[in-house]
Amino acid sequence: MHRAAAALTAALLALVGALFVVVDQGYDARIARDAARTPHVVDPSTPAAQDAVAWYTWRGDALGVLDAQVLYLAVTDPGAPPPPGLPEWPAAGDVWASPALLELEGSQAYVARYGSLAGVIQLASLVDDGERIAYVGVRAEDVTPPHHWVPITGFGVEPRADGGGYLGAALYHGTKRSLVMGLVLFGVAPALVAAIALLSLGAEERRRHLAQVQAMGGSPRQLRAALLRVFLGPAAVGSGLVTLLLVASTYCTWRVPIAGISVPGADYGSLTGIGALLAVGLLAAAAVVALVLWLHRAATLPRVGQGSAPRPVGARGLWVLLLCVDLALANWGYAFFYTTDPSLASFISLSACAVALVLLVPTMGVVTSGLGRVLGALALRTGSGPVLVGAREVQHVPRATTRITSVIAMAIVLSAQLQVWGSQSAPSFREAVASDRVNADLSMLVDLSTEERAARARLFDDRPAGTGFVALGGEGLPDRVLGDCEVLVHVFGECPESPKPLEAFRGAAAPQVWLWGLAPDAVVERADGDALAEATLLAAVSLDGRPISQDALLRELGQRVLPPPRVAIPQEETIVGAWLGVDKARWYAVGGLLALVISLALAALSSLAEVEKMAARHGVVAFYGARRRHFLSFALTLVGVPAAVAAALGACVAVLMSWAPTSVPGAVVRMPFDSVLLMLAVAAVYSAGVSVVAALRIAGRRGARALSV
Amino acid sequence: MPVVLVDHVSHSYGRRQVLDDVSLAVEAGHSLAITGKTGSGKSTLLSIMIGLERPSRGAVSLAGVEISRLSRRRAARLRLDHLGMVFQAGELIPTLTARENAALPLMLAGRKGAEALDRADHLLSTLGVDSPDVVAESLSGGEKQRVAIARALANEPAVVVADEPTAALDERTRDDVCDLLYSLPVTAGCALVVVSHDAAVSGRADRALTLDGGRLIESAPVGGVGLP
Repeated sequence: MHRAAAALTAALLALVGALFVVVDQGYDARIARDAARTPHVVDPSTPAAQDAVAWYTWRGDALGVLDAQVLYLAVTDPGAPPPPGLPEWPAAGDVWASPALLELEGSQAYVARYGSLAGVIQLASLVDDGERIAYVGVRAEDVTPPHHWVPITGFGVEPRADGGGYLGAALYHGTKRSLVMGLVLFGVAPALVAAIALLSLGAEERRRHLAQVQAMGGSPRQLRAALLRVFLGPAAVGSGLVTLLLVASTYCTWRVPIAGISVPGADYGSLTGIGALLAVGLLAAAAVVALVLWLHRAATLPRVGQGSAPRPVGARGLWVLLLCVDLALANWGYAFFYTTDPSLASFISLSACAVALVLLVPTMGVVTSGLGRVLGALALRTGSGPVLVGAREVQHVPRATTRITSVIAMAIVLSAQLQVWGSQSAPSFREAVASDRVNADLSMLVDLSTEERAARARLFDDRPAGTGFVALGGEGLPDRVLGDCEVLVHVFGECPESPKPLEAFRGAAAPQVWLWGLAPDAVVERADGDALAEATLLAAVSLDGRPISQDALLRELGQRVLPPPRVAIPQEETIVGAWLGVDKARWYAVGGLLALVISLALAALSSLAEVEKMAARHGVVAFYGARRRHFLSFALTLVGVPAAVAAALGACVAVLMSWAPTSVPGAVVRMPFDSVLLMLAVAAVYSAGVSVVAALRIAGRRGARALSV
Repeated sequence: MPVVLVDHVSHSYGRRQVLDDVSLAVEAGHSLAITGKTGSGKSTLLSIMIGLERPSRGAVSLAGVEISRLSRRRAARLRLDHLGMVFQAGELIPTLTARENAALPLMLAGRKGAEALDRADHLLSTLGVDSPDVVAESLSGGEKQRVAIARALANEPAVVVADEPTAALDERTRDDVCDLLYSLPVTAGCALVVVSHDAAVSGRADRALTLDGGRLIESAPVGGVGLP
């Protein structure tokens, strides 16, 4: 048993250690690929511009609510090396798209905005196979420098020292430092606790055995050697197997669940990476042995104390419970009434969660002790011996039960909270979603800030059928709304002869969302021709009441201006940005899932170890009553019921703390009930499962044999 | 009819023979002491006698039922119904009170809580335990053994088996516990088997048998005690 536990612990530690190697090496590889495919831009006014091989411009774009990047290339020296990942330079009108972009619904129409699909970008040149990127070929004659087109001498720049990316910056999900911090928080800390729990299995027996050997004159050195002989082999096997698996994984690509990040094994498959994996494996095996020696330090290091486990507080814990509930209520109340200050609300939410988590330990001590008292009274009334024994154990020795139940309650609170944080939507995002519904594609914003005046004038001369343009002028927030009579009548119900304050049209104007973003003192003014061409921002308005097709509008504009100006749904950037934030925040869910799984595994192991330890003290029950139901009643009382109560209490705190932030309109997760119910179900299955396993283990080891006969 | 019957029992662990053709019988109302040096096979004989181990050869009957052939569950039920056990270290459950410890076998046997506690109170009072509501871990050594005897008597067993019951007690407490134990065959009408290396304890039994190298080397039937 302890050999298997040692092997498992070493495997776990080797895995967590290896994740650091994967993050370090994998991140560097991604950065290197990103830097290698980034165009090397030169200043057109310098002599270096004479070595330019192509013109280049870049545009951020969106497909639905997902971001995409479009790189325009107009080659002037076809003999120059093509972009990484492409066998040749994209010809004019050709589009090379990444696999992830082509997998999306509507990708065909999206590609058609820019030309015809010529090929797929190779994975080797992408930061990640989830990257949405396209190269668009343009004729060099159509390039109109100096506006937004820049000369490039090739591809490849120095990787950024700050650990950020270039073109694939959105795919990095934080810096390497933040990933390492996350690993420490969600990987190392739980793994160490789990390691101690695993190695504690059978520790009591070992401790007794070591004490006997010590009493017979065994020196600490001999005891250390004995422990080394027992544990070094299994630890080496456990870490060795994981290391071998990880080395084998360098030949494939694997995906991080939920977050959807793919990790090519080749990224950490260099000699350095494999060497680091082997070193981590050795360290993991050594750490297991060190942990075992530390657990038995009383025997192996005689002068070191054994320390003491935390004990729950007494009756004052009831006040703690009240404080805990108060905090949750305060959090709920605050968030319910004041959702407009996300920073302060987040701070209160985080601090309330932290305090609640800390206070859960003594609270669970009081609750389980009281529960033991109640169960004991019930057992005396009904005459159930095993329940009485289990209940008194819970009542008088709540340390073990407290530890287990606290872990369960904390896991549920933390997981629910992580899910809330992970799906938290800012007020601006919710407003953007609401405005998107109002807009209903009846208007689009066209950004002409990078276009020449002549190009802008071409748009007004030949605008798409059924569509009107309103020019939005002014520095900063637009303060002038310009349009011809047709479009002004359509939007405002009249065509003013002279500039008229926008305020005057507030009641009469059609629900045009773009109006929301204008300056308060904006004026509406009739204008034609040249006046309109001065504006760098347009609102395309549907004159026939039919939704404007973003793709169709882009194609039509692309026939007049190349590359076509950016066409966006009003507040699209906010929506895309918010979804990107949600996408990144899925890491919270990954962390929460990991924390929940590790916590429950830890709680299960701890439960089994504690039940086994207690069962040895209760051999008399097995001596007189060896029926399965006796063992089951005992295990259920000792583990199942406290775990169920812990799960229920944790769920109550989780619901209280997550109700408000998930109840506001536009929240990604409407209510936490689904997740909490799921976790309750997991906790219930866990409680029942551990109880049954514990009962079988007690029955299997024939508790009566533990008696000092 | 003997309450305890050990019939030509031999037992070995691997190649090492621990018991060699041991036979004995104890009838109700009589006491038997088994003595012997460390490693003589006392504990093995006791384990086989109470059904924790099965003998390699031979048979053991308890209250007329061959316990050495029963399943673990049935053997436990037989012990619950007919056997009271006083362990060397008491084996009280430390978190239960004295009365709860004494009532435990009754509750395992399916008696109602109140009924079991009443019986436990009666036994503890008879055995002179003054603090029935104190948790076992707070009791003195002598009190613990008294509670253990009360627990052994709870189900009115046909036989009480005591394994080194005075090993951890001082001389005066040892005598008190011995007085209590050896009065049981008379007051409770049960058979008593005491395993002890202490001559002061074994000497008070109706009959004392000595195990040496796995064999009973001395037997002198007196009353209902002897070799079959």
